[in-house]
Amino acid sequence: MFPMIRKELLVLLRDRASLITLFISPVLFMTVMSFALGNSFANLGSPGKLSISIVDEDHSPAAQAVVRALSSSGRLQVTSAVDGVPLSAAQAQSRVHAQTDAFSVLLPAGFQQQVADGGAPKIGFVVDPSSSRQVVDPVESAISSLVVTVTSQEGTTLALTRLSDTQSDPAVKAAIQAQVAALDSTTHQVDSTVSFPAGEGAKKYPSVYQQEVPGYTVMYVFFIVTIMAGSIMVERREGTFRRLLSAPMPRWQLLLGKVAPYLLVAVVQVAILLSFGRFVFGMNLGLHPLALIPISLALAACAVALGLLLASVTRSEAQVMGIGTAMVLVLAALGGCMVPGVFLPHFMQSITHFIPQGIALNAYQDVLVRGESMGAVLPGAGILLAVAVAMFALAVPRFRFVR
Amino acid sequence: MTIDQRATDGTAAQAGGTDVLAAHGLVKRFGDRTVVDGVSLHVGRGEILGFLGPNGAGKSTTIAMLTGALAPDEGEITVDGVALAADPMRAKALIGVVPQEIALYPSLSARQNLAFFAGAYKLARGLRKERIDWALEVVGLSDRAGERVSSYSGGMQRRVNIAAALLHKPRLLFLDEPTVGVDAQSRNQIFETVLRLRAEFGMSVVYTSHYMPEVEQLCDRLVIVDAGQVLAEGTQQELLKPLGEGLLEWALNEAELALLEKGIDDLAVAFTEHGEVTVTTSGDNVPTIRVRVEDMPATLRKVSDFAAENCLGLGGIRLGRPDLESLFLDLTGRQIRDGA
Repeated sequence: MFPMIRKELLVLLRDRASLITLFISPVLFMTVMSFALGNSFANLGSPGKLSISIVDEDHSPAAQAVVRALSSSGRLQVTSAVDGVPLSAAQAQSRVHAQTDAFSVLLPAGFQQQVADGGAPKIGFVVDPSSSRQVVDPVESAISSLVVTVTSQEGTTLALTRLSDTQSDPAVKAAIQAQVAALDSTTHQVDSTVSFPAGEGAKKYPSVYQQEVPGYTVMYVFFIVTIMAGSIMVERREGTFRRLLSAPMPRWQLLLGKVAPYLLVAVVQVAILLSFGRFVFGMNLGLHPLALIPISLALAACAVALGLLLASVTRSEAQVMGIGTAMVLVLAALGGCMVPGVFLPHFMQSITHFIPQGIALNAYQDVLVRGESMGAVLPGAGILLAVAVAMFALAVPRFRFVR
Repeated sequence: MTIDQRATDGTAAQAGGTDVLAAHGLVKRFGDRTVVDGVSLHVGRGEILGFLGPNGAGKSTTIAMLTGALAPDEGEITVDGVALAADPMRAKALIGVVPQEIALYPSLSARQNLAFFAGAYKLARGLRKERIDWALEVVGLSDRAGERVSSYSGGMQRRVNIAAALLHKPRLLFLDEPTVGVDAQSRNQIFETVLRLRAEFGMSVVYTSHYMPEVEQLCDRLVIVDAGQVLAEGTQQELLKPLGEGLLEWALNEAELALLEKGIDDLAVAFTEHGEVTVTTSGDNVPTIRVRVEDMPATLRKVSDFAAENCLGLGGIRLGRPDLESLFLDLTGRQIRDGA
């Protein structure tokens, strides 16, 4: 079996295309994507401000209260006037179009009257179509809630003021006016703090590298699938398997000798890519770096098992490349390797828990980002190993050395 | 026990009789299709056996079973007295296989390829370099052993293909179409190698080829198979004897058939006294007679007379010497290279 392993490694070392796929390509992707997404991660945990504009066409106390409330937000950069002149709807649209603002809030004429009449306050949003809905939607929702709160308060103030005007008793009148003053002085700001769940070792937000390096490592480990299955197809086509079947070597040794080198290569690949992240990008390996080992071994076993399964159900190199590449890319996307999980919609975040890539990535981030120890990642590694065993069990009985 | 130990202490050789390979009643089915149907053959010590058959005859499947790559559904195979089914590792260690494909790793050098196969055949570690050097010398590639196989000509690749099967000095060597696509120089080199292996080591060889002159030149005995069965077996002399002075084939087109009262049967009757006549159809469904000619001059005179009497052309006539090409045609109704 050892001659098989040695031969396979020699052949792989001379296969430049495979080496580029396994080692150079992920390094390039990690580097480019880390720079591309660097700003997104740099703002995590820091008070970044979203630029918006407000057009007040009502000029009423209620509308002004909304403008004041939004302007006082520490998370928003609000523009309601330019050079002291209130912003017009056309100007606001121009600013959104020029991407000066992420969106604009329009408080139409009659805004306060609607509130006074007990109706739902109507507001409008002008949104740049290229804006991320994941950013705009929550902010829209938050602003709508704030408008409801502010207008509700304004409605109460208005009602109390009217009530006060009808009172003849100075004491009652004073009491009502005190209530109005208290309402006027109410702030709409919340003094909030952020902390991580108890038991997690992380003390700060993750760096872009802690997201991108494990993501692309997991994605590219699975490219061993097409390389290994392709190599098996070549041995079938060239007749080397048939020749080796006539050698005094049991079939299980022949199969193990073919698979084992790729397991080794996958483990080395993980080690090199994580080391690249550590030593080139200065990526923090978490509080328990040794916990990365069981994940990496289970991940490599899973990738190799998938490669064997692919080789056992396909008949040509073309099928391997077509099916294999599509499978690897789709699973990587579903597993959250290409786009960090925080940017994925909820249903996709749920799917990642059932995809080997997602399980591996989550386990890596447990160690790198959340500072978890060996015990915390063993369940994930165990699931990956179980998936690998299941795929081996499916592949081996179907595997054919000759066409 | 390593291969070399077995070869030198002779334990395998003592186990059997004079036949290095004996196969009895081999049957192989794929689904409902019986590809090999009761094939039996044997190869003597130092004998070169030609194993011939058209494509689809069951030749490759038979070879795969004989070399241990495929298990037969029925039948027994022994290699130098060792039952292949009972002790496959020991039996396989006595076999060398040169497949029709260039079954090598083109990105590795010839020496690296041979080192791998030496390991695959469990050759003793201390003996590997010596055997690799020897195998390279046998096939005449010692001076270019460090170059990648992909940089070799087709002929050189074929020679490395053979060298890979020699490292453990097998008692029985299977050569499957070893000269396909090679130049004359490499072909001669391969012939010399085969003859040298027999002369120096008493190596037995099973040789398959579509080139009849090669088979005539190299093989002591022939086995011809078709439709999964052995059609003929014997020495060239034994097999060619029934062909007499040669083979006459006469195919008639539709216009010519119309000129004869009973069509092709008239032609068959006319030649009955000149040898054994077979009526058949060629690949294009053209009615044909085939005559094992006993007296060639008399038969040719008959051809001339019959053609003149019936206004037939001579374009459909083919004469074959009493050689393997004619024998193969006679037995299978096909040229050896039909569909090859």
